[in-house]
Amino acid sequence: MDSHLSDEQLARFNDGELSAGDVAHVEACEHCTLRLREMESAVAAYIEYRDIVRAPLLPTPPLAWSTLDALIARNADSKRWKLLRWWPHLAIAAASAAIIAFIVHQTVERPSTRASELLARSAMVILPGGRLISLRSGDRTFIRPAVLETDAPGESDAGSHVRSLFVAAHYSWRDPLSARSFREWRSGLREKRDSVSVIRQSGKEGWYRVRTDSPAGLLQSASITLRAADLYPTGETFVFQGEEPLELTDAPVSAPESAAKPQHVQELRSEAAAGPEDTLHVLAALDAIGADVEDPIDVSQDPEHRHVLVRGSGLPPERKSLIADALKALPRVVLQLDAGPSTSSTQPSTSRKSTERASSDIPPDFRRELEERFGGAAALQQVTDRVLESSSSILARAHALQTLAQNFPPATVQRMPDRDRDLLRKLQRQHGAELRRVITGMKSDLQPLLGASANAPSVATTDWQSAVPALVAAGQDADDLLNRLLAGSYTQAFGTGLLHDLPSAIQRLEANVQAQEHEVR
Amino acid sequence: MTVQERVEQIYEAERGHIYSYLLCFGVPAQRAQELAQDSFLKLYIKMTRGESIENPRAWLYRVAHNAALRFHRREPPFHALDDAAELSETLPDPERALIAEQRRSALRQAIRDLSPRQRNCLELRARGLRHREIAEVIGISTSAASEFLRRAVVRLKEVVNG
Repeated sequence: MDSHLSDEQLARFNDGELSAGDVAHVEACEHCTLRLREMESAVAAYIEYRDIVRAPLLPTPPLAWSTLDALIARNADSKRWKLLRWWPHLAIAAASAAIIAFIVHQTVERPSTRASELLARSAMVILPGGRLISLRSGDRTFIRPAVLETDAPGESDAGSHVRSLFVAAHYSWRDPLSARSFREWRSGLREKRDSVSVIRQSGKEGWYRVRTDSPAGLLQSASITLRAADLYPTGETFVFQGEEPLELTDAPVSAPESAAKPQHVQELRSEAAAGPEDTLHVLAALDAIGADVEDPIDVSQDPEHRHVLVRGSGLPPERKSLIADALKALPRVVLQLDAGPSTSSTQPSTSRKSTERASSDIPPDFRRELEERFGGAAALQQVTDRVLESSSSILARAHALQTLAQNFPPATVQRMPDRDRDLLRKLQRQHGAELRRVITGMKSDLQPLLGASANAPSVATTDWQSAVPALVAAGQDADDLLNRLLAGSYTQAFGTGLLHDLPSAIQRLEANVQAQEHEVR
Repeated sequence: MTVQERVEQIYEAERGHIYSYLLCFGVPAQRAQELAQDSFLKLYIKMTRGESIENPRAWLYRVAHNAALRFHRREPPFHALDDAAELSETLPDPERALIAEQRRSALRQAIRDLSPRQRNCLELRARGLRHREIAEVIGISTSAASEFLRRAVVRLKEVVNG
């Protein structure tokens, strides 16, 4: 029997990309057939995991799918009116036919019976007074007391459009986040379709989500999320015809007691506006649990500087819970952990040009050269994995430093009390030390490519904050170069150029890390 | 069959898959749905221009992948869902349920231990893409994709086959 096929060759067997000789070998060789079956069973196990464990976590599409006709028509209209960037919203708004694409959560009992029962039980829950709720639609978010004294409009006209939608849909604007209001609206519908989903946490029932669709009405769909332990309503989603989805959440705002008393939207007034120290304390609390680096979270203040907004998306429930716990003692904080990073996110932008190009393999001679320098194909792959992970980590740290630098320019730091200045210094030092550690490890991994490189040149800056943009840029450049070199596609000549540029890219990164290590004064 | 009819067929069959692929990157549901629809519109526009697309399915994944990259503007967290995953199936036979839970628990841990790139390759493989197509979607070389996938499978094999 000839020598057996490699794992990679076996993996390509199912793609029909093996030579006739290799195919004949697999078919005749018991050993290779067994290995092939094992590999197939591993992928099958992943599929099983995906379908049984992970699939229930996926949210259903929030809106009905637009038809292709509608997409095309709206796209044409959008072009005509040069509003191309808005076409998805218009197309979605035009889709009046409610199609439940798929239900990924586990449905229990008959949905309508189960929905009625859950709502009835939740309606009896006594909700605490002074609650606040956060309302988000598109880019707009506002906070209001959970319960108003009246449905009548207030002095402020902010939110009046949303209010008019609720009133027109016969949904209580006075007390929207409650099972009682949901139930009253639902009972008034002539045509409706219910579904009940269970969202599990740690194997137990964490929340129930009751969703009612009424495609013919102004309010086409509403869903309310109830905490399984006590049926406390934690959030709602409303889809009004022709409007962007509106999300209501129980806002964990630690505002002064008096702040809960105003009666109308956006009339919430904290006794004290949010200052830089509020942002700093939030960042420090996030840092304590690693969330300022590891999680896609934005921290910013609202335009009126009333609150510190902590926004993020794609976080697992346990992580959200950990973050909420870490921040619950801090005043003037609004959590929006399903909101997604804001459009003004300061996250570093890595233009992964390699993903835009047509893909081709690393030239064989060049790959061989890399493998020889690292001591073989396996060693090269291990270094590739480690270096690319390190590079991502550097970018995340640089982003965390950027957040600090943008929120705390030198003039702001001057006005801060000593204890806050110490806290800022501690955070900055931590990030700097971690950056140095990761870069040292990365340089060690890349030693066969770097050779005897010179020391990092010094970069002159007046303060650490002004050094951070260059650090972020250097991190992005190095990340881009490393991704191209180790996992990209290029010609022999281009690869040689990348190798040539690598030492200076790493030196520049190192120099900028040193530059931001100026003391906080 | 007209171009529109062809794209409609693909849209009906694949939109849920493209949507769930975008969710794997932590793209919020509403944005994921918009980006998924956007991908199919791009496919339609490209095909009406007479440009040939050898494998529309792989092409759609690539467009979605790039959309996720642009959404995050840096390496996306291709792991959020797996880190959140909890075991939730209840089987009627307690012994079977225990065995299934232990196995899936080990599997979940093995998947969590994979690098984001390895998971990304494995996810695309589980969606039926070939090595060459996986490489095109992610924007890496075929051999790199094969190697990421090989390492992922080797780790899972240890769990699945003891």
